[in-house]
Amino acid sequence: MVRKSASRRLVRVTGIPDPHRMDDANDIIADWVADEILPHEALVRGWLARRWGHVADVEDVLQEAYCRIAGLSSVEHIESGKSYLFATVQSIVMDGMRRAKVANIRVMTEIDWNYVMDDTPLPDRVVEGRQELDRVREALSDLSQIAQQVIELRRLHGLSQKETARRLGISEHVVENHMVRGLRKVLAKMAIEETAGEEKI
Amino acid sequence: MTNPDVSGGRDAEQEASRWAVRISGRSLSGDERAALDAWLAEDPRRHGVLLRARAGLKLIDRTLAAEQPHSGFTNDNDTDTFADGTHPKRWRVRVFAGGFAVAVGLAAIVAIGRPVIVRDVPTSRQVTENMQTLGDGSIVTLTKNARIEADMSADARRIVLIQGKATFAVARDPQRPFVVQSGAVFAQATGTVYSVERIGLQGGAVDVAEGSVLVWARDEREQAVLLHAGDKLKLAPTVNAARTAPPLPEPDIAKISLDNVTIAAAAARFNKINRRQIVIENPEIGSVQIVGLFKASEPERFAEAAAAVADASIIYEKDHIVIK
Repeated sequence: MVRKSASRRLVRVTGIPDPHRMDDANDIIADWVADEILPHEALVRGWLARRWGHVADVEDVLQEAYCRIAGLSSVEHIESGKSYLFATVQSIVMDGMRRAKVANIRVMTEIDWNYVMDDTPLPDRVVEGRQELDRVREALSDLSQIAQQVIELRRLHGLSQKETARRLGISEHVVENHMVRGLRKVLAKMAIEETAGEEKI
Repeated sequence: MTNPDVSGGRDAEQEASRWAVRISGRSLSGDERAALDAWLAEDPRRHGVLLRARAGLKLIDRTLAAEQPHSGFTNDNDTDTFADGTHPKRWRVRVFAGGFAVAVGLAAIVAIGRPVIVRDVPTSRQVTENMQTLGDGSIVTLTKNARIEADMSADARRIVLIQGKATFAVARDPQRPFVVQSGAVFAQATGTVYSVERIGLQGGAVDVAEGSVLVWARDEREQAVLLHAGDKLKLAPTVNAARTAPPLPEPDIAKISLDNVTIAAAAARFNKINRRQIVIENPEIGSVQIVGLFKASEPERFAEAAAAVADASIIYEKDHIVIK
């Protein structure tokens, strides 16, 4: 994607979360993001790029959206993660344009909003979820055998980093590196819109 | 800046992934927590990048859980089953309650999607009532009447089989030998699966399913027999047997197994049991590490191998083998 450096400053950082509220409350939010946000990220990214790519930096907008979500104290009130993500990125883009006084600002109309929601057919939630797992699985299967073993022992069987290292005869540092690399592969996969294969993050 | 991704996006994403892995795996130390706070404070948006990475880990969890054959995904079209079944806390219990076959070891960990490790958790007592996980991660399966005592220390793992039969899937830890004692019989292994059965007052029967096990009686470790997968050995030393009496039925299979020990230490073991003594003239040669399995009664073969490893030469004298 070609970036427009002029538009990079459109997004302002808001909603700074409390760093000490890391584990318990944030864990619930992270669970929710895994279920409700991350699966739709690629869709929203594609839409952002098509609709607002000429005025806003898509990555900045998404980063800001995640930052706002990280600042939430609760997600119980949110009915649909997908709608919430669309609304959030929309408001970020609008805020940015208002601040930058972009001349040809075009406020989202009801029609636009319907277009957003109908951009792709709303698949059955389960089917969608399974597709997400397929993508994760695909990313994991590209990893080396040892990396797959590390991830399985750590994440599925709940072994500590130390135990995993000992069983596989590798150092703890290597275990951590395999985990980090595997996670990044998965995150990269989630960022790519399946229908637009050539669109890179 | 020509590529904004390098500073803002990708590095942050990599760091965030690392922190996500650390946070989810264990509790951070005070220093680490401070480092994380400092990193987050540098750019508030990193909170979002970190949140995304943590969610990614959870997606990995859900994917792995969904692949479990025992995870109860009976109806993929049922929304509730899906949402419920992917909850990490739920599947973890299910996985352990499944009571899967034990296979731990060098090559025993299979590819993603197939369960390999059984841990003893309270909810799985019924399934694994004879199975226990020892402090080191090794798994022991006991027959009905079997009793063991385990003593795990920093440099050794010692199991005393008091009665019955126990099968061990030994966690790999080369630094801490795993030794099972049955009466006067000892069996040592690492990263392997074998069983030991108590025979009478002093004896034990060892049956190796995977890997290799070193078996000896009393302090006769020099006379140990190396058993491989499929091998069985029953040792029943008598109570009065003198310490010097060869405890093994066939002395010619007595072997010395060397696993990365120094030539000096290995030579000392040969010297202890052979009349013909190995002399190492150069201490540098003595400090070279050696691996191998040698007949205990043939110090010459060992000396030759040691000389080859250390690039030294050998002089045979009447009562001595000199390596220099």
